[in-house]
Amino acid sequence: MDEQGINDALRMAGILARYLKAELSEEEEKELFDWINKSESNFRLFANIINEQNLEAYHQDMRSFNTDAAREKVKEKLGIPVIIKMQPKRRWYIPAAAAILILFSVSILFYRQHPKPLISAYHKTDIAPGGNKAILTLANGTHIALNYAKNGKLAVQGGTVINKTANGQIIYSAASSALGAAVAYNKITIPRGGQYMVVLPDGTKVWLNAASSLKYPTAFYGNERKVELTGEGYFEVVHNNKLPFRVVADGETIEDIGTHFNVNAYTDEPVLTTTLLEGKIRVSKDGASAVLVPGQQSILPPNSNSISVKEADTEEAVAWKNGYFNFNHADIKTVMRSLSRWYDVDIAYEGNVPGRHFTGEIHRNLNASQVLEVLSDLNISFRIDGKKIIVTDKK
Amino acid sequence: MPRIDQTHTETFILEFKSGNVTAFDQIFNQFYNPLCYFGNRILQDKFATEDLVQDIFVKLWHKNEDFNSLESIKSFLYVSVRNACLNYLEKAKVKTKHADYMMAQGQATEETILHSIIEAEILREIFDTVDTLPEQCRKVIRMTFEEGKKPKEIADELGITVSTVNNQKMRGLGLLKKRLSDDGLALGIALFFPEAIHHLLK
Repeated sequence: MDEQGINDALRMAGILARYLKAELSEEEEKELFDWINKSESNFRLFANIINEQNLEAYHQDMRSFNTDAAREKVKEKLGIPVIIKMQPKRRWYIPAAAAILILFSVSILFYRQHPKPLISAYHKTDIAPGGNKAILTLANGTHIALNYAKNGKLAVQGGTVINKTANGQIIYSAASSALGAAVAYNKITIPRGGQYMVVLPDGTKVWLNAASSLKYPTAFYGNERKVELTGEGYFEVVHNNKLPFRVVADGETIEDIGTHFNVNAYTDEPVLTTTLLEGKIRVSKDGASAVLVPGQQSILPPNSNSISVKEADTEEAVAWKNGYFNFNHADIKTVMRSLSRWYDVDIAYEGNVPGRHFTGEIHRNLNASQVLEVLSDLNISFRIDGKKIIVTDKK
Repeated sequence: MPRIDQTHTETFILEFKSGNVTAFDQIFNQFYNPLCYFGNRILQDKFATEDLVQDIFVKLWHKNEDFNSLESIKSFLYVSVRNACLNYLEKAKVKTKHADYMMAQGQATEETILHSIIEAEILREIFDTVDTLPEQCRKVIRMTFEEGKKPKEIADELGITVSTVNNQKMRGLGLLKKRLSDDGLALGIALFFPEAIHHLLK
């Protein structure tokens, strides 16, 4: 790696900063999108920086260095005389992120003993919950950070208009002139700590959870409506006999005609789970298939086409979309994986992995420390260290 | 804490080249923290990072005549920090064979390094926001929220009317609002100007 690489990085930093401040010229925008499209890791960096929680966490890191003291030390070394100026006393408060979030009520359905605080500097190092963040990638490689976009018309793809109607929602309105246009694909990517809802050109609503993505055409025609999902999405499909709606997730296809269902296809979960709330769906992979009725769930292990069907708690499967974590005898790793995606944190285990199981519901709109307080007890303790949660088995 | 006036970088360079101490202060104030952020990403050791970065500013002062642009200073600073960090890791690994250093060295890939530089610089530009507000705006915001002065006091001190003070305050808050996204609004404003939040929740 040479100096040129660093100079290029410095240039990209300027462009990215101007993107966040909405001060980019059209040429710079093109340069930015080319750079993002060059590699997975560039896209990941982009997804990282459009997330204010991350920026603020990094900023705390950056502020922890004492500039004034360092400067005086260096000048002393250089033999430069130091002039002491009297500064007016600063009263620069940083409130707890929790103080802002007092707007959200806490509703905890199971009681736990509350041990002493998890983090000493509660106010400064707590982790705020996820929010409405997503990146929309258009057919030509343009990337739109939806949380930075203004409400209103975002773009036009062929005969389809994309509108941002509110924080957290975009709507595709296909005109009839969309038919016959070349098929264009858009992709919406939800980073960790994000969530978003998109209304597809046929009116189908899709809620996407953190660390997920959906790839879909900008107009539906032909003999099917097909979309590709990674991560987790809840679908409310608009009825159309002539055009079956198909979701492809990690090799499995979920087909339905007019239905409400949840697909959990996170590749770091042990199985792929599809839960049906209303209507009827067929789940298939590599020749094997199963039909579900409401209240049923299909389970598909990785690298296999052996689909099993069982009765399920549909509320539990879609709790995330309604703003809750819902655990039913879940082991600690499953719980921490959910937290890791929503809070955009890494998890580390100190000592043994605790064998406890968790059952209950917790609001998602809480700071991480509040959720962890509910989960702690005599045998498990949690610690927040920057953007990492450390789990310790106290047994 | 004085920063470089972005609209007059040529003046700054001339002063820096001629050994002006204020110019040195400005470049230090602007880049010390981002460089430490970057170095710490590689070393995972704040004390070592600070020593290292401070040494680089010493070098910078001695080389002051070699630079003809802010870009070249920036480049020198980041390249030097990167080199110093990698050397440090190499020496530490040899000297102590400490697992932490080996891991840090393994993680200091080209990608991590370039991304850390990008993060450091983005943070520097974004969080400089307060300092890039128009001057009177900035003074009013600082005096209101940082020094806790009343509108009348500010008006007297700056030689303007109270209604101008109020206008500048609203303008400053409005500008900050524009630069932040939906979610970032509450978070960002509250973190910069906690007392301002009741203005925005109206």
